[in-house]
Amino acid sequence: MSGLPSDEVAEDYKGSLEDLVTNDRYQISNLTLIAKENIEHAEAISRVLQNHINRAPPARKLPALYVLDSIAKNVGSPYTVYFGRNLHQIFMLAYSQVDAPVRRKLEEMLKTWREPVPGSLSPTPVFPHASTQSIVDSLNKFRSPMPAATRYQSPHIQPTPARALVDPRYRHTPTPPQSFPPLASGLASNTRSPGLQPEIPQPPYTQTPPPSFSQPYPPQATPLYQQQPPAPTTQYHTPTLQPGPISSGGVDLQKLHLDIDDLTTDAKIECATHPMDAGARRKLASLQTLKEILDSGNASERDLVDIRNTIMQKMAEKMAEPHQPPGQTAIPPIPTANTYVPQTSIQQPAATTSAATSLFNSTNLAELLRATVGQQQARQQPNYYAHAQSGVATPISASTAPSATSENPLLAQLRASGLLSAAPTPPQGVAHSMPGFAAFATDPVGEVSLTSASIRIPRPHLVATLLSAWPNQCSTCGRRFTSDEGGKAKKARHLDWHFKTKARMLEAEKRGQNRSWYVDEREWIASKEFEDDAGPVDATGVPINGATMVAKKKAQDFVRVPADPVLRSLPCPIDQEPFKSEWSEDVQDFIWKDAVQVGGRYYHASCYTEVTKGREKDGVLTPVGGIGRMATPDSVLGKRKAEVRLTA
Amino acid sequence: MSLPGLGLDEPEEVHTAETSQHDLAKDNEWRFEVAVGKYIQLKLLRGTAELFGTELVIGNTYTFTATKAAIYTWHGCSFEVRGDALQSEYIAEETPMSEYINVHFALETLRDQAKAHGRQGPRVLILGPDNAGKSSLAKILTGYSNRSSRSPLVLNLDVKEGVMSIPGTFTATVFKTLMDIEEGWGTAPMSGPNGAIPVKLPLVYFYGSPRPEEKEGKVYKAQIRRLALAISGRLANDAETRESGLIIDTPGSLTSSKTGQVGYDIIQDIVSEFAVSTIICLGSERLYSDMVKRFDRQPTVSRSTTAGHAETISVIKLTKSGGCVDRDEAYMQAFRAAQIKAYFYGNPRLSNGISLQPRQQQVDFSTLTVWRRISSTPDPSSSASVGASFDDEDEETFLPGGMTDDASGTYPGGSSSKVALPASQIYERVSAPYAAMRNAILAVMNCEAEAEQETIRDSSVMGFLYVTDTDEARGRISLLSPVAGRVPARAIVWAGWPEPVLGIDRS
Ligand SMILES: [Zn+2]
Ligand SMILES: [Zn+2]
Repeated sequence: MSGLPSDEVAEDYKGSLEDLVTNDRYQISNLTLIAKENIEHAEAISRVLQNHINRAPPARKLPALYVLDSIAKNVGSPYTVYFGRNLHQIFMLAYSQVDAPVRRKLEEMLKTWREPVPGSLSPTPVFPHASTQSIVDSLNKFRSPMPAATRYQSPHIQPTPARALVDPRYRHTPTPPQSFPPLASGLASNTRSPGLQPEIPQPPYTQTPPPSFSQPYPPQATPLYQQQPPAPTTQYHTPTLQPGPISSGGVDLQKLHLDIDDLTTDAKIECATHPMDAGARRKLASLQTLKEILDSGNASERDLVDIRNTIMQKMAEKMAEPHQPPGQTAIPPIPTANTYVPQTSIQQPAATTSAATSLFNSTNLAELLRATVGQQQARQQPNYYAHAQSGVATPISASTAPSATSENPLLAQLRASGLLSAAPTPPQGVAHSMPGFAAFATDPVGEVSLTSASIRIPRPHLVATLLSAWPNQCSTCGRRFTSDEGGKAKKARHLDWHFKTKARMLEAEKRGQNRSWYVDEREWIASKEFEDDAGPVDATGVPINGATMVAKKKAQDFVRVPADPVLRSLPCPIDQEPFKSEWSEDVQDFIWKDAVQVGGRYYHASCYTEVTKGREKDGVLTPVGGIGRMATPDSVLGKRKAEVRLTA
Repeated sequence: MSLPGLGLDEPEEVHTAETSQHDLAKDNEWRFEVAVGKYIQLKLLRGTAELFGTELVIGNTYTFTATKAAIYTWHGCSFEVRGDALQSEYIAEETPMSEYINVHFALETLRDQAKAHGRQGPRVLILGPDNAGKSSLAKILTGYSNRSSRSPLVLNLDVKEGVMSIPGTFTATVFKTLMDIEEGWGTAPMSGPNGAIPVKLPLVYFYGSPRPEEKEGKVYKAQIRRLALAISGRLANDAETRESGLIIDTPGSLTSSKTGQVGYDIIQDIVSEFAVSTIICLGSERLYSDMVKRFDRQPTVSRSTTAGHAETISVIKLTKSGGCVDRDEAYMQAFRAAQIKAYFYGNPRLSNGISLQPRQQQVDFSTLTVWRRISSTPDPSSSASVGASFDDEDEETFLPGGMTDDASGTYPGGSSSKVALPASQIYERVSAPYAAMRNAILAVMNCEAEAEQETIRDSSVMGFLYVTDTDEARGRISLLSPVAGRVPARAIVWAGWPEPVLGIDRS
């Protein structure tokens, strides 16, 4: 339509892309339309888009990739051809720079690329498999056993049985297959017969330690695709998108009672086996509360429908997850964002709602709830909601709004605990007036919500609790400890730290101190603050003061991620921290930065240097790096430190 | 004319230096002000007391200088004060502490939920005019967070006041350990240990002006985007901080009607870049209603929310503390000078303080790569400019980068600019030292000396230098550097603010 030169179109397009900050459906639709209308400039537009994706900061990669996704699905050729050429590079670069939740969205998107174009009768996938297979291979390679998890559980990482799971097609890949199914079999599981599933869903990640004592999950540690939960019937492979408010009649109370009891038993077991898991405890408390509501008999029909709807939503999300963003099954009754949702080929028209509803109604509540227990920590659900059938230029459907009517406080607690959806099902036609965080107001943990009104009410009992929770105070700095054995031990270490610091201060005073240079972005991102008594120690066993670098990065200090899954799962022997895999475009492989191999084991290069060279330290240790530490000629920091040393 | 820090222009009562005992009733607050260069010692005798959320220990002596602060007690306490005369002091019976601690409780609930579900903790944005008590609230929320064993990331975007660095900077710092009561926040790393309070590690960016709204906020926004990037990197690595969330302090001018639309645009950017989930408005009803209109119950930009948990923004207003006395410009200037001095020399008179030894050196100017920010520093080729005010906000002698990729485009039409510079140019290379540079603060950037303009703008700071003298005839410059050794071969930026500090090296 435009007779403009490609340059101008491209420049224009670039400008529009730069405005794309969030996952805004309208902007993405608009960018898709522009691409469609300027199809004669497809090459220029593709180039601009690809460059934009590669250069965008991590936070903007996903929206930018959604533009690519939308164009590929809605415009198709020749864009798919242009994108296809560099798809691997674009995808992997983005994947290596974003965090775990976004990675999951990328994985979901990738999966839709291997499926037919939504709404199309042709079985041809969005991108030819030739373009996506190398990404799948790289991702499979990327996935290493979850180090944080393996440290707490019996070694189930045995390469030999793992091979049995592997699709023979991948036998030739350079990296031996992992102990969990690679992407291809994850995809295949969509069509697996439910009868083959274990009775109770125990995907690998349910053995993950509860977050209270686990390391931060390394992004790559999350299984690429969730294993399918057991589907009661195969019909769930095509869940519907519209839970909608269901008529209030027909909630089988007796069945609810039975199901709750059943679930409570499950939750008790969960609590007993995971004593540190606050989530499990809360879940149990929630179920007991739910039981109270039912026993009291004064739950309104609406409350009951609420509960049932939520459970259905959760179940539907779960069912839908491998196919499409889970949000598509649950339209939260909160004003929604105009977010873009990658289209999938299995979207169903709303017409099937009633059929699905009856299916949900017949589902055993216990099964449904059980399936949701324990998954919250293991995965993050995408934040976008489906109101798009076409994904492009569809006006947003009027979303339901939270209601201002008072509800059962116990139910509110359940909402706060995440068992019920975050806001009550509104009666139709009620105006929006519930503050956004009201759902959390009655969380058992805290009663204060972030509303100007709630903040005004004095809570002396909460203040008393906060001030008395840690009765054991350090008389030097005022830091507080609990009065139990753990607290006492901590305090003893803390006092020891004070003592040693004081000795070092006297020594430092003689030499004279100076301000250090500030850390740069890379160092800061990799740094971690330690409590004074818990941080790393220097060569003489003296804890390093405060903030300390954990991962000093040196360009040459990387290794390719070992193929052996056992080796891959072992943490650094010195600090017991797992290694972090990342994709290196240069090496064209996954690497561990700041790592060295010594005598068959892998160490953090920084840990290793610290332990082996620590003795030559001059006693004055800076909290950041330290003089003489890591002083290599090619490290900026090292060079600087070396200079300091020469001239000091 | 007022003398900075001596308080000669302030008609407030002045106390003599003697020991005085104060008894503070439950829920009361003792507000006090110590001028720059004055020192007081405070000792808690009985009861419990805290300074901006951080507890005082009975029997310890705390030294304060260049401070406006408040000692609050939940249970009642007695303390004694000695030392120099106070600038002002009084006891307040009405305080907003119960509101502030309620915010902490609400945030704790969100942090628990974040931890349980692997989500991001609350991202709190504090807004309000100057002197509304924003940074006090930020400290209080941080102090309570530490008491609840959290480690929030404190983001100071208020370029007028330095947090863990000098004024004119943005900083991001994780507070896992106790805040330093005497230093206000804490102290940045030194070559040795820091007494009883562990040092904190700030990431520092240099804005170099007190006005975020300058150039339609484009420079400010560009740097904020860069900072947001670094923070998202950190949060991805650091689960504790991710769950504890962000506490963001902002410049008062963003909410000023004088600043106009630009201020709100910047707020919009901050809300979206940091996926703000809670907006706290202090001391302005108009601000509160504007923010409610714009943001309340809007979805956050967070990437870690779940479908079952649609996170929305809460906008709340809190009562401004009556203790937020307007601080005049003379006080602020003296305070800035004190902060800069503490950067180089430390503050050995504080009980936790350490005497630092910066290095003085004279170097051949040609070995340095100094860039002056065009609009805010005197043009060396203009004889009239030396000593003049470089404050004209209307002078659009540069446009920030990122707008055009090539420098070829348009030239500014500014009448005051005698040499037309490319529109995209932010900095101009200074080839020889000149007198206007004396007593200036220079920022050493973490980037190549000859980096692109935008790269220099967006780089984090390695440290600061102070120009003690210039020798135009011999082309040499005398510098004070925190660290001994050659000046790093990096881009060095002279922005003109914080303003020149006289005689920092002679003390
Ligand atoms: Zn202590
Ligand atoms: Zn290690």
